[in-house]
Amino acid sequence: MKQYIHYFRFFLIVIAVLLFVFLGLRLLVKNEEFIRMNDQTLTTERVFDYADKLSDEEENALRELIKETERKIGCDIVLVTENKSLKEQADKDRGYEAYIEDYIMIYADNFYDNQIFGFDKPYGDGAIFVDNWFREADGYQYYWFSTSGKVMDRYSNEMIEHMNQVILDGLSVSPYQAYENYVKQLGKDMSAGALSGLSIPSYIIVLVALLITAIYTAVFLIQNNGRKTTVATTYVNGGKPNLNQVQDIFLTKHITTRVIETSSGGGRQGGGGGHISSGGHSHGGGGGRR
Amino acid sequence: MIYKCNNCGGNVIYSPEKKAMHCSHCDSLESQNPTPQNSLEQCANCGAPLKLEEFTSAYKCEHCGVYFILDEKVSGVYLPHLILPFQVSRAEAKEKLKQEFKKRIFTPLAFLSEASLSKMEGSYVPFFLYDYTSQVDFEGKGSKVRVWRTGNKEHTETSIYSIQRNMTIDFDKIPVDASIKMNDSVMDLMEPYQYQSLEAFQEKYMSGFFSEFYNKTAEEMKNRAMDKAGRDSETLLQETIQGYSSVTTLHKDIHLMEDKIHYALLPVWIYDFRFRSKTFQFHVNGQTGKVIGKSPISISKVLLYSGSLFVFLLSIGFLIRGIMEVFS
Repeated sequence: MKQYIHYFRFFLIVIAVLLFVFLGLRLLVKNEEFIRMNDQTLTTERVFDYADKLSDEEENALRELIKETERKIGCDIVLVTENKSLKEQADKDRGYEAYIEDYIMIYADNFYDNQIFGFDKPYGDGAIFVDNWFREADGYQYYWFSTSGKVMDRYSNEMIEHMNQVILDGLSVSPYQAYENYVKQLGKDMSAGALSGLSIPSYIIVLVALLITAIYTAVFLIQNNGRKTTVATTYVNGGKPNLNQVQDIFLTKHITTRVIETSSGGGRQGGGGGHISSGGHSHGGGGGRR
Repeated sequence: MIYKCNNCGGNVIYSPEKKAMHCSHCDSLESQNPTPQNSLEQCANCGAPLKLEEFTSAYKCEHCGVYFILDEKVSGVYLPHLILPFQVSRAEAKEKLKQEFKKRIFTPLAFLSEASLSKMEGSYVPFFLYDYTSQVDFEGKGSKVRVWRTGNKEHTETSIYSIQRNMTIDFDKIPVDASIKMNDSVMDLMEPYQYQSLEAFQEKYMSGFFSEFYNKTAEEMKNRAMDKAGRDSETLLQETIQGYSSVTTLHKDIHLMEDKIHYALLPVWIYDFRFRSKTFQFHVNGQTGKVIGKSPISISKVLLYSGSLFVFLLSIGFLIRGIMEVFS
């Protein structure tokens, strides 16, 4: 035990210091929450369960979670379930017969705009997820994740796809699970750590720790016999060779040039699925059908 | 030769602490009176029969405990040119071992207290020390690559150089042990010895220690020395070729010229420990105190220490991430 503590004293001290700093910072920063700046929103409601897929307890639980998450990330988070055809509304919005795939997007954008959502300002930062349980004329049920403001800036096509996948995964358990996944995933993606790009993925930390441990163990096991303490110059008179000729003569050079292909949508690009709603506001997002 | 004390008749042996001949019976210094030991069958002190191994040149009579040196094995063709007298005493060697065991974190704690010493002897190991002049000639082509960007274009510039090197390396006393009994890799790890303490051979330094004469001739052992010189030459050559992203060899020649071979006796402490019915052998460099040898490994200690390290590293990683996230 004495040997153990003595051996790891450096680690124990570092961990203690880091823990102290971490807890200290958490205490200091904890109260720093986003304050909602938009007073034009027509409602304080966030969960619109028109399709009645959630029990009252579930709705309340989601409201609590949304309220908490909104303060953390500074975005409005809206959830709508529907159980009706959205065709009529879409056609009216477009002024012509809209594509069946567009109904849900038009509905989501309009819902957000009509209620004047937006955390920082009207039509500002936020996201809405609309889940329509009604089977449209083609026999499919449509869903849509729509983004605005900084959420739109943040979400690339890949992230939108991932978000939808996370929601669908939850749906195989229960509607509640799906909507909870939506709020939590949004909280994760919009968290300060994720936004600053400083967040190190957990698996990298685990891998690095594993690698260092493996090297440490291997080195100690290998060195169990003893360490080599001779180098190439150990038996060289004067400690270094006599260099009779050292010549590096430049012969020729050639340059090749290639065009770098810029990748789109990838990385931290964001702004996936951008378009302008009939109200004249920018939205991003994506959805699908089942 | 047997060194007897003029004052008390006891056995005078070389003491590394006192750097002098010492009689442990009457504490006299330099009181030795050399008595020849010519017979290979009988102890010149007590007349007991000797059971010597093939290459033995210095031994301890099992009957009367006197250290003797077989004169005919250290003279004539067997006369060593050089000897490096023991500088680490028996007590110091033991202390070095203790420190080493403490450093070896995977060695069971019980090893230090439970292991019993079954053998402990100072031994002069026969070595051949080879002097070589290495002539290194190299010609090759090297390329340096520079990459930069302008706009959406990436430019790669490859410059080709002609590399020429010629160097002379003066190798001084590359050691190769000439004892079959001694494990080559262990002897290599014992290196280096500090050659400034080498002395012209004197038989008295062997009193109190075991020894062998060379088991094989310098000619037979030469290849190991040439390997070492060749490897070191290669390394030193590579050290002069730096800064290239790739090098192709057009011509390379490492030519070794043999200058001189010295036959020398170098000091080693040999310790055999018995621990849980197994023997663990350790060698301690009789000059520098460097310890070589495999100690037992406790699986539970390996798991405990590796596991702890892993957990500690994880904690540090996650804490740093947490702090970074709070800051941003």
